[in-house]
Amino acid sequence: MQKLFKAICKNALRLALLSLVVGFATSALAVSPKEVLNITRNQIFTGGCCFSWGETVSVTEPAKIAAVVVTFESDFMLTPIDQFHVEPFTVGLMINGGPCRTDLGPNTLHENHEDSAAFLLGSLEWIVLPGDGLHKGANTFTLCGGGPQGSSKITLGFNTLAVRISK
Amino acid sequence: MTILTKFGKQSATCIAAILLVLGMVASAYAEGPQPVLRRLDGQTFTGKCCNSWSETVSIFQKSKPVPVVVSWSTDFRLDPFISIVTGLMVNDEPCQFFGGGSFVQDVYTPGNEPWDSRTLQFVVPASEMHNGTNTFTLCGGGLGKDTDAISIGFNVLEVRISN
Repeated sequence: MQKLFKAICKNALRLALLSLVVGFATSALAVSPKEVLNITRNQIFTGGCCFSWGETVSVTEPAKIAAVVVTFESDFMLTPIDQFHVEPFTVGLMINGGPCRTDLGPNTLHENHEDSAAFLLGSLEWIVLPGDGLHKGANTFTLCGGGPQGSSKITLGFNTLAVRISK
Repeated sequence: MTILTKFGKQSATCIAAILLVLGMVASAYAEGPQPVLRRLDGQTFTGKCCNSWSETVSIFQKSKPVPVVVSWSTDFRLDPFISIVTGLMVNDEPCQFFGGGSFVQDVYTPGNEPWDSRTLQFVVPASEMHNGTNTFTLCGGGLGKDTDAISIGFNVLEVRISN
């Protein structure tokens, strides 16, 4: 009886320790294939919101899905619609190829500036929560957006898109 | 009787050991502090600096705290010629400034103040924190009149260990 009890106790302890180790290993092995994208050329995007801008980063989620943080920093220039007005562009993310989401955080690129012919710096951060469509394994995030009209135009200069798991 | 006592001691030790390990497993998976916040309801904050803006994130610090970075990214809109400053209340202490946090509208567009966006990063030194859970609440206000106001749209707040 005592031998049997010892054996049960020993195995239960082993099992508990194993689950602890497996839990840590899953987190430690979460390495992303391409978390950062750096673009060093100008790109012009024309059209109404929203369409893909073709910039994608990805991150690998462990078994326990965690929120991710996506940052976008870019030089940008908007084309004035007349002598006095520049209309804002909307920016967002397509999660795993889904629709363009502009509700993940701030979404405005605009020029509160009198000289509309200059590049300005835009810096946006988005939080993607597990319920937004993240799954275990690789998840992709593609930049998307557009202007208020079909003829709206934005020039993106040097820019960086990056994703990381929130810890 | 002696055998039963010995058996009882052994089982108590065994159960305690299993509970200890399972407790570690549970705590590893438990919901802890909330390092990210996403707000999609527009808000307007009026008044001179500084008031709490009621957006809070938190992070767990081990026995020796290390610096953290708090990022705030937001759409915003201001009346012309108004200056607003923003900072953080660490663990509900008074509002402090940990880096640039100014918002200024210097273009006059009557009746049509446009939305803009901005990302701020505050670096909070280890000396401001304690071991355990630490909270960071956004705060700020105007530098001029009591009627100074800022409207914020979609925004995210995040805290992470600096490394």
